[in-house]
Amino acid sequence: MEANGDTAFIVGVGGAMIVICMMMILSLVFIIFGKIMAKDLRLKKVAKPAPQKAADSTEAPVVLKGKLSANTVAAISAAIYQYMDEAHEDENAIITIDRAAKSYSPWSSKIYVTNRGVFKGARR
Amino acid sequence: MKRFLTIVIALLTIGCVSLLADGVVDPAAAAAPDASILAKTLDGVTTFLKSTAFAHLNVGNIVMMAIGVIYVMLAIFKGFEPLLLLPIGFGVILGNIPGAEALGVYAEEEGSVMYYLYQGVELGIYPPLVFLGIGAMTDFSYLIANPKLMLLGAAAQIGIFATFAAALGLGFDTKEAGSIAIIGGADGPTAIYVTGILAPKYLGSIAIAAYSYMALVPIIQPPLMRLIIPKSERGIVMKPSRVVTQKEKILFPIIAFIICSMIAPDAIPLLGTLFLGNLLKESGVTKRLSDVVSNALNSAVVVVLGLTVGASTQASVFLTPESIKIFALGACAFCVATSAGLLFARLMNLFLSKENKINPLIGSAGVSAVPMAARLSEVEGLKTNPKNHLLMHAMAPNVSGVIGSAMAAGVLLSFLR
Repeated sequence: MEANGDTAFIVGVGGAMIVICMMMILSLVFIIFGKIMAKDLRLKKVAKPAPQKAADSTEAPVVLKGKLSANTVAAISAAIYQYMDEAHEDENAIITIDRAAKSYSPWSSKIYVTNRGVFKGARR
Repeated sequence: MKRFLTIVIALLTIGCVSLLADGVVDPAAAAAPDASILAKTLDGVTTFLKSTAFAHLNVGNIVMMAIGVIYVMLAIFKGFEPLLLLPIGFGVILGNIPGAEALGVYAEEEGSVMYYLYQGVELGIYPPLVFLGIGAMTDFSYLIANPKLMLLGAAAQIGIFATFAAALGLGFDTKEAGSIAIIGGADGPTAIYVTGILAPKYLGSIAIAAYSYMALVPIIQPPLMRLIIPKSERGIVMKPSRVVTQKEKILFPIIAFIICSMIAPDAIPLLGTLFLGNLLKESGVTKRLSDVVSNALNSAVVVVLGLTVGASTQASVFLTPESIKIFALGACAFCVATSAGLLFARLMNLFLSKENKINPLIGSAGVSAVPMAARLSEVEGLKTNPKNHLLMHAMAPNVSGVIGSAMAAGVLLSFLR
C-alpha cells in the first residue's frame, strides 16, 4: 500500500471503524447472551420448591430486605466460620522453610577469630 | 590493608606504564626471544587493555547504558512495571557493552546465544506465549457482567489509528507507520508481534517505546484524566455488577474467539492464545495447565523477551532520528488513546439512564496496560470520593482493551501485510 493521504484515511478511519464495530457486535452478543443466562437463572429459581415453614411458629425466620432470611445468613456465616477455622487446623506444623544446618569449618570457627578487639569495643 | 594498597599501586603503575608505552613498545621486538621480560609484560598488558570494553567505549554506548540503568532504577525504586523494565533495562546495558562483537554476544550476531533467544521475538513466538499467560490470569467476569463497557476498550484503540496517520505524515512508510501506531494499544506483546511482521528493523525502538510508556502510565494518564473529566463526573458511583455464572465464564472465551477470529483472522495467534489461556483457567478442569501458563511459562517468556528486546538496542541502531520520532509518536499515541477512552465514556453517559451512568474515569482503562490503567482509575476515583471504588468496573474496559488491541493489530496486518 502506498503511503499518502488516502492511505491515512483508509487505514486510520476505516480501521478504527472496523475495530469499534467489531467490539460493538461482541458487546451486543454478550448483552443478549447475558439476558438469556439471566432468564435461565430466573426460571431455575422459580422451579425450586418453596421452603418448608418452620416447625415452631414463634421462631419464624426474620426476612431481611434482601432475598435471604436472617436464619439463612446466620447459617451461612456459621458454616464459613467453621470452614475457615477447620482450614486453619489443617495446616501442618512446619514453620521453617529450610533447616539451616551448617557444618563446622575452621574458616568460620570462633577460635580462629583474630580481630577480637572489634567485639570488645561493642560489648562495652 | 597496607599490603593491599601496595599491590593495587603496583598494578596501576604497570598499567600506566603500558599505556604510556603504547606505540613506543614494538610488539615484534617484545615478542622476540631476546626482548626483555618487562617489554613482554608491557606488551601483554597493552593488548589486554585494548581488548577491554573501555577502549571501544563511545558516547552512544554511554547514553544507552545510562538509559538501561535508569530503567533498572525505575523498576526497583519506583516500582514502574518491574517485571518488564528490570530485564529490559539490564538487556539495554548488556547490549551496549562495546567490544564483544567478535565473541558473539549480541542479538544481531548470528550464532550468539542472544541471537537464538531473539529469534522468539523476531519470529513472533513470544507474544502469543505471553498472551496465553495473560489469558490465564485475566478475569473477564466484569466484562461479561457489563458488556457495554467493551466500547471503552474499542474507543481507546482510536489512538492506534490516529498515530498511523501521524506516522505517515512524519515520513514513515505504511508498514513502519502501522508498527509505530500499535504502540497506542499499550500492549507490549502485540506491538512486538506486529512490528516483527511489518517492520522488523524498528523492533528494538518500538518495543522499548511500548514498554516504556506502559511503565509510565501512572505519569501520563492522571493529568489527562483530571483535564478531561470534570470533578462532578469523577464522583459518579456506579451500581454493582451482577453475578456472573461459571457457565458464562466458560462460554465467553469460546464465543468471543469465534466471533473475533472470524472478523480478524490475522489476530488469531494472539486472540487464540489469549482465549485458550482464559478457558484453561475458567474450565476448572485444567488447573495444572492454567498454573503453568500463568506463572512459570509466562515468567520465563517475559524474562527472555525483556532481556533480548533490551539487548537489541545497540547504540548504533537505536540512537537515530527515527527512534526519537518513534518515541514522540508513541507518547502521542498513548495520550490520544487515553483521551479517546475518557471522552467516549462521557459520550456514553449522555445515552445512559441516571442509575446506569458510568464513571468516565474508567474510560482511560481502555488502553490495555493491565492492570495498571484500571488501578489508576481507582486511585483517581478515590481522590474525589474516598468510598467510590472503581477498580472492578475499570477492569472491564481494561481487559476489553487487550481484546481491542489484538483486534486492531489484526486489522492493521490485514490492511498492510
